[in-house]
Amino acid sequence: MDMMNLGTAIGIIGASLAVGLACSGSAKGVGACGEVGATVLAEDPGKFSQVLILQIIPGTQGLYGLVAWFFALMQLGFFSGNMISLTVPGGLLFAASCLPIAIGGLLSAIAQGRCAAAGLAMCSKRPEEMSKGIIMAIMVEFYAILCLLATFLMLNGLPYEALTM
Amino acid sequence: MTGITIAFLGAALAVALPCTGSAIGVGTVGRAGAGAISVDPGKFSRALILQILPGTQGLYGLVVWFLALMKLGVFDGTIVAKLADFSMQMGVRFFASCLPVAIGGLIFGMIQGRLCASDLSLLAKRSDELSKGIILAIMVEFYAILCLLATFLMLNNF
Amino acid sequence: MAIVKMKRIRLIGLERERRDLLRLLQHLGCVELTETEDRLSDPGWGSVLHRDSNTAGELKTRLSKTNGALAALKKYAPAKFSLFQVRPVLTEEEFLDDNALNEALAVAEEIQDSLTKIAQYQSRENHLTQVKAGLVPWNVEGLSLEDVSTSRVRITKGVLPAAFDLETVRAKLAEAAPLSELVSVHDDRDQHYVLLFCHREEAEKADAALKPFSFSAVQFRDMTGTAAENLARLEREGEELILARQAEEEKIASLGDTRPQLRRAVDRLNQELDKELAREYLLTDGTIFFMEGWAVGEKEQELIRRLDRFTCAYEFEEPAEGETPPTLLKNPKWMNPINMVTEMYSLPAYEGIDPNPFIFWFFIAFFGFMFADIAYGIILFVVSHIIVKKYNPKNTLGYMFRLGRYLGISTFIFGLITGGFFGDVLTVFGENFLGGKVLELPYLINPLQNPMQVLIIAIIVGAVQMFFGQCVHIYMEIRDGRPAEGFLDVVPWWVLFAGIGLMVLGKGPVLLIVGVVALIATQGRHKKGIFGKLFGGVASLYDITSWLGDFLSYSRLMALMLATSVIASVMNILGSLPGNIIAFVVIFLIGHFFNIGINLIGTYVHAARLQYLEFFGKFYKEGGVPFKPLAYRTKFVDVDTAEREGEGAA
Repeated sequence: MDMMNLGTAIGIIGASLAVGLACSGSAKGVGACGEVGATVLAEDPGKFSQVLILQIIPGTQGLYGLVAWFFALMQLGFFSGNMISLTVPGGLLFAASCLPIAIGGLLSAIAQGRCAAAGLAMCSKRPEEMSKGIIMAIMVEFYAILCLLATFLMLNGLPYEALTM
Repeated sequence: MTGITIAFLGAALAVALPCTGSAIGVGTVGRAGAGAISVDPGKFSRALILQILPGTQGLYGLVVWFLALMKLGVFDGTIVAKLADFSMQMGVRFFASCLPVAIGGLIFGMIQGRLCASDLSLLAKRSDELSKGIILAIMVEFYAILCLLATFLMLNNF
Repeated sequence: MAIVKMKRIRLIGLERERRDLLRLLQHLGCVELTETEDRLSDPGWGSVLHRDSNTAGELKTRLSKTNGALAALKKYAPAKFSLFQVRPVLTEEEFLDDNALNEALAVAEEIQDSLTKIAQYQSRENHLTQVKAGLVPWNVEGLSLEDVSTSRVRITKGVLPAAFDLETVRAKLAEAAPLSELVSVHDDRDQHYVLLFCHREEAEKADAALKPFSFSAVQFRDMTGTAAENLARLEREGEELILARQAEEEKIASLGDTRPQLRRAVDRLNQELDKELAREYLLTDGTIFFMEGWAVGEKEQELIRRLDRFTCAYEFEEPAEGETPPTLLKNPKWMNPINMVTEMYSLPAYEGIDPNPFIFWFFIAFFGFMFADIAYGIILFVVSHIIVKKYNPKNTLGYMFRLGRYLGISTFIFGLITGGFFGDVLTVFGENFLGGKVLELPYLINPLQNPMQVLIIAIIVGAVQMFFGQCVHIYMEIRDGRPAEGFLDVVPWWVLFAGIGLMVLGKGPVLLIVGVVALIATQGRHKKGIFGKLFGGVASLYDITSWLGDFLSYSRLMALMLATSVIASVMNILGSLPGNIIAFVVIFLIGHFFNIGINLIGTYVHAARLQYLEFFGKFYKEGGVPFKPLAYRTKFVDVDTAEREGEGAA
């Protein structure tokens, strides 16, 4: 058993969760919008552009997760070919740092998706009020940004020299 | 060194869970708001006011997270020294200190979300009673502040 | 810089001058007509006047014809796709030219004719297709469609559902009517097509036997000859129809150039419709009419001058107690784009205050703060500027792009402060492609390296804005003659905050206690009874929580500034990973495009939200009703209402 790489493995799990969960959340959110969008389009195909715009909104969490994942893996030296070996506690610290965007991204994307879907339903009744629907959906976005920031600053602030073997 | 790991986990949850709670709460109100606006677009300003009320939990979580990370020495570089100093016991204590805001933020965010969504249906019937609705939501806030205080005071000891 | 003062206008004029008077009002565009019906409940009025009706029917028909013609053009002569329509500018004379209108209506008429013909041809074609489909199964060599029964033998063509097996049917038939025979002509998925030969004497029995099998006879009235001949004939007819239809379609397509004419006509008809619908606000007795509304206060003199040319009586009056005039905001032209932000939320109440002069600076600054990047700022400015110059968009879209120019400048300035140029692309590029050369832009504050500092700045900025908002509240109260109220609302809080500040600095809680006492004493002063007042005061202490939330809310300034930089930075690093310059450029373009797209909307919304909630919350009175004057509201063209020499003078 190579305990030396267990820490790095745990770290990579953390990074994977960041992108995996955040993207899942976005997928669910975008999907929820799409479901409502299909109903809206069935009534009036002309609303496609509105549907698309609102549907994209919950998609940002996935991007944030990807950004966090890239940053995390870069800290691990994944892309430069020299992977650092984290101790087990170091790996756990790393994974903990990835948690905010993982959990926050997942759940906020789902919440945002339902909100954007409701906004879409409103648009089918009042197309001129689309901007209001967008504003309300973007309010939810803020918390995903906070989570991304927390993850980023934590990953940035970890003392990697002390955590490697 | 595992002490610090658990402490870090506590800090991460202190920001992740309240942000989640806020996101869910804000999303819930947004859904109700979309419904209210489809009936009467003039209600937008009030829907927006109600929508931000569950948003405070995420901010409280961020504040606690900042404090926690400062205590752990992440921002001024002393974390390297602390790595060894933090015993398991200290780590668990730290984690527990973060719990009030973490759990509270999550749940209060969701509760306030449902509350404010109901406020919107109050607005639909009586459009002038916005302030009463806000007061109802702020009652819940009191407990969130208690949680924030608890975590703050506990973390301050480190 | 203000909410425009309105005056009540009442007017009685001659019915025969009504048209011209309404036209004048539409030209000036400064009077909103209001509902007069409630006056009829007064017997003095109700016995003499009745509500005017309009003859909008004819106009509406013309309008729908012209709109229909435009839709037809869209279908048969699609225009080149362009993101924005450049709106032609017409003088008022050109716009009101009746000849142009009649010409356009004639064209619309032509197009409608063609449309009707096309519809007719289309339905005939459909019919033909149906008939042809019915003939195809019977297309057998030598089989005539006519009834070829003889004196003894009845020959019927018919169909049976395919579910039934023909042998079974034949057996049953043979049982009941041995002198008959069922000949299969054609089979398809749904039906059997058969010929029933039977002796006339057994006809009834044969029919009875076939009944349970849902046999139904088929007749081809009006057709002679074989199926093949008829199919050929129908084919030719079909071709002719198609040619005719295409000819009509081409006719419409050839009229594609008349699109601008038709658009102008639509706008013109809409204005006439507006004037007709305005009649619903008038009371009349056949000879005179009565009209009531709101007029822009400063146009009073001009209105008087113009109205004197007509035979009418009018009066101007200040708004009465309890009346709420509609809200119209007036600001220097360069400030107008910020209207977009205010309108999206809610216009200020008439007795409130115009927020535009304040949020113009705050909003643009906040946006720049959060988006801070030299390159993004330049891109934003250039794109907005090009669109404004080239397409001259109007209304909300126009506001948006004109605002975009200001936002671009602000972003640029803050980019200079943070040293952001496409994030940190210069650093990354230098490291990877220029052999480790360190390229860095100078900066004052750097969110990536010093987030705490930026956070503190953000909260201080928030405190400044909220403090300013409170000052606006004080100003409003002084303006409305209640200075004590204004100060009592705000000053105790200032004392409290100062007290908190002093305590944090370790200078003792004295000021804090003074502040708490002041709040308890003053904030409940509107309640009844001593206990009510005290209780109200104590309850107001709870507002500390919402203040806390407000302060923290401004942390989003820092959060979004950081988010934009972080994503930009990561995109740059991503681009440098493959190691070659082409990949870098590609990833760079895609990544930053995404970053701008996502963060543009988010930054706009959050900057706006800070205005609506934290700032407005300190002083705003919302709920204003927008001013809707009788004026030119055109969709396709712009009418230049400027007056030339000599016009309107006498």
